Amino acid sequence: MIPLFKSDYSIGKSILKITSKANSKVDSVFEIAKEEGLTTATMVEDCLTGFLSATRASKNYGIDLIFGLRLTCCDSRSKKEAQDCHKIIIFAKNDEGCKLLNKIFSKAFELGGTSIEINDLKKLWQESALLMAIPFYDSFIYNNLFKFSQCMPLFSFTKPIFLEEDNMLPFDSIIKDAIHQYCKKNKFETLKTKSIYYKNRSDFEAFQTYKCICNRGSWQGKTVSLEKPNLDHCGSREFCIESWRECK
Amino acid sequence: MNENLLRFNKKQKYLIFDYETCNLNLNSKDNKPWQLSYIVADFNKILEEQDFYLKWEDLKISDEAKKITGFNQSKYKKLAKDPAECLKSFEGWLYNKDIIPVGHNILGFDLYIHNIHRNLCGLKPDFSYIDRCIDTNCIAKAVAENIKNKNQTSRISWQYSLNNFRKRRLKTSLKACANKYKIEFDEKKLHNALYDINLNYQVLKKQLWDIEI
Repeated sequence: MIPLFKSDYSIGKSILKITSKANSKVDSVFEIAKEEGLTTATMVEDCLTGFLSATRASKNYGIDLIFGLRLTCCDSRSKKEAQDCHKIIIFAKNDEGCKLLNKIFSKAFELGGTSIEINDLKKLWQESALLMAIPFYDSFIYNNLFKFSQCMPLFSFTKPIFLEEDNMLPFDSIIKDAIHQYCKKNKFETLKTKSIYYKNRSDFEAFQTYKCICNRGSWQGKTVSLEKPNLDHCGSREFCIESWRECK
Repeated sequence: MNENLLRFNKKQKYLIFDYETCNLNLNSKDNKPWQLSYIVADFNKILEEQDFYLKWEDLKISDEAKKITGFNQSKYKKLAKDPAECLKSFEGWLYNKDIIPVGHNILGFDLYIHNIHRNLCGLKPDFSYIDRCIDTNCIAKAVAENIKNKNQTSRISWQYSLNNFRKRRLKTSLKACANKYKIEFDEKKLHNALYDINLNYQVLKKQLWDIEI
């Protein structure tokens, strides 16, 4: 099972820094990777702003870095409000892949956009430099299951790998079954992973607090708190390395 | 006409349940469920009714939760029982594959609270009953917006999609459902778990005739 780290560069998604000093109270991706004896740290971020820090940390710690960019993909940019948008992860396989990630990121966010059109992605795609992964949550399979979407993206230009997770949420088994069914039918491979947003289960309250703050601290004009966080389905404290260690 | 619809299966048993809790956090050991009520019923009659007050030494109920649920400390002290025993009794029905678990907003709330209850009793998560669940809050949205399960996806996926469906001014609370079906209720008693499940049982029976499940 591969741990997929996310740092606080992905705003509102993780409380992990990319690096921190040893014995510091701040938890970080590379300190955790070092403690766990990992030779490679796989990161999945929602933007590229942390990429340089991650690359430097990789060199300093002597831990290889695999960097993935998670972004919204749409069939058509003009229809981005519609039900055809879903999350994908693009991993860079090499230096050329890193350059392409930058181009893809720029394309996605040009003209104030927040998503990449699949045809634009197709034009920029190089199979030797990039790998596409379909995340467990918020993918087209997830959206088709739980959001009335009817999206069937055509990945004719690549062969994506489907990420599988088990975070003990009530609906995890439903997603897993759907992924297996889809991959069996379309001959795609799956990979067992775990998203890591905090170090230990006991850090879940800190994670929730951070999410509440990032959600601007209010909901419909009412103040949110840990007693009333208003975070839908935020009911698992398994997005941590402690959980990964127990089930790897 | 589809004879497999639940409305025609008068012998189908339902487990209608509700938890009252200390606050609204979905995974906090401080958010202890202090009341668990359930009824087991078929379409015509209630077969069993339980109203458990769950005994915890360190209950920290927020002032807002106290106000909303009408928490009474002396009643709680008098009636509270071993939470593990109450859980065992409840799960005897919940994990029975012939039973349909029902609740109002269970997909967004009570399922997680049941998990907290299990966790506090030293048990691991087990959501194996999820495919059988009916959430009357989701069904209320389907009825109000005429959203049928036309793609014949699984019932639980359809309900999760409804759970994630938001629309301004769409009212699907238990109170709104009772008003819609002209079921008499005492507003002061709402948010007492036992009162809510009895009301929800009436709502469910109406909903089964409003939408094809």
